[in-house]
Amino acid sequence: MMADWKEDTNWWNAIWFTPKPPESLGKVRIACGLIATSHFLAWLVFGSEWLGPSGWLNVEAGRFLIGEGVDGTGSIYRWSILYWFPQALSMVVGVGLFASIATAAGLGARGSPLLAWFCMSTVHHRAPLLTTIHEPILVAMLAYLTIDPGRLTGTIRPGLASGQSRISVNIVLQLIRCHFWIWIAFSLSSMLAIPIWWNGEAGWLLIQEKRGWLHLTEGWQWFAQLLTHGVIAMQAALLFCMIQPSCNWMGRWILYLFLFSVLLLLGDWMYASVLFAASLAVWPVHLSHRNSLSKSQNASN
Amino acid sequence: MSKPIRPQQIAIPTQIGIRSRWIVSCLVLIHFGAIGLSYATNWRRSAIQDRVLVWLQPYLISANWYQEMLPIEWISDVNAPRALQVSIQTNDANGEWSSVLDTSQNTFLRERTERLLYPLVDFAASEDTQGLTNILKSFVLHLESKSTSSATKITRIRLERNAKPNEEKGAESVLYEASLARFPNGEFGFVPKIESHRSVHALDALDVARRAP
Repeated sequence: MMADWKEDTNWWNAIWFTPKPPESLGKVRIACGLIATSHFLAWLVFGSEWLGPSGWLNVEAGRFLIGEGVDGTGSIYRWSILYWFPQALSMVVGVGLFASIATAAGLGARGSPLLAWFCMSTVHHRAPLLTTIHEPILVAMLAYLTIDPGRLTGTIRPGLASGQSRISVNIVLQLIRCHFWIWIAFSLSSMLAIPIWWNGEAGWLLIQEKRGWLHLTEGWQWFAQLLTHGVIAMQAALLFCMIQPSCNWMGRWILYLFLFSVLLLLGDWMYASVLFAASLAVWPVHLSHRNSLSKSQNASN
Repeated sequence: MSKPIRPQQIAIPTQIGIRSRWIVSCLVLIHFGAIGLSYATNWRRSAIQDRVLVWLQPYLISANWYQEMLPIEWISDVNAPRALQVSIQTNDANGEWSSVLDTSQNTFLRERTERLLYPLVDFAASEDTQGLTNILKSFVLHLESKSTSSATKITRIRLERNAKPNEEKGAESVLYEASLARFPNGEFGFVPKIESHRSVHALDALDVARRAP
């Protein structure tokens, strides 16, 4: 019994406390920074129209929607400065944009993801209702990167000293992996709770609403049904591949198919990009021979 | 020619003590437990889950992990009122309705527009006039601030459910309609259109008028 316990703790320690080189987080950081940049660019364009002093959702309506004054809603923990200074929105978004670019460029150590997270959370707390599907994962990834922002992969070059392996890098990678797994699990279970994902109607309804890239005529309804079942099956397979090391290689290709389905049915490239960015913690992508070193590092770890 | 870096130059193992491992492990478990609990509220919640969530709110909400109404579903239900529209009538529009927010327009703001309008459907269904008026008031103030002429005033506003692509014409319905009652101090209230089977709205309107300065 004691041996089993020890084996379990060894397994846990190997997963969470094996040091990893900071370059392991490089691509996650770049992807996250780039997506956050486009997110803040979009807010720069439409932000004032929605949350400005006389936007669609003014401060009074915003306070009502977070349940201010109602017990149990936790509205007192919504700390956004935009409730008091709605005109500061452009400044918050501008700082967020700057911090996101710095995150993608590998500048500012943990300060840049922290600042990007702060600005994104400021907007979320002002209007949690307006949070869209990609934002909960993006903001979580930025929060995890504040623990250890890693180092951009591009800094590994012959003759240049690389960063020491760190346990904190591995912890961040595992946190992103776990969060990604939980997200997919909830996505799958929320779909399975609705009959239209069982009878194949969901895909057809999404196609009819012309959300995604796919536009089909009546005769192709069977394909939409196939796609609906495929989306369910792919998410179940992704969850399995992430926890079963022997199937890990397959997960990457299933993920690409799943992301393609997201684009076909939802057309939400931000969501597809965020899922891809989070998946880099599970299935790192190696772009060139220059990075073969970090590849061998990842494989050995 | 520069020397290649050998792996052992990079992978210098570092260790942390057992106590630190225990602390980190416990924090990780509590963190994901809390997030899982928060995500799970999007299905059904039990009384005990509710109590634990309220207890965890300082961490979950402050650090932005709390995701109630998580937009995780791609499509919620076949009957979901996805095609929603807010229309207005102004004092210079000769009684014509003009659409100001429409979820069927395929723009990059479509998802946010839907998330803004869905609660209105719930408010209308549960006859929560306070909820409706709070949001619609914000819409009216926004539209009037954008208007180029200060003389142009919104006189009526309505929330409509449009026919979905798979539905025949005639499936449209007006979920809420109200006239704007303007008071001398510049404030305004909503007087809902009275339907034959409802009297609550009329009483609400009277209440608004009574409280007006």
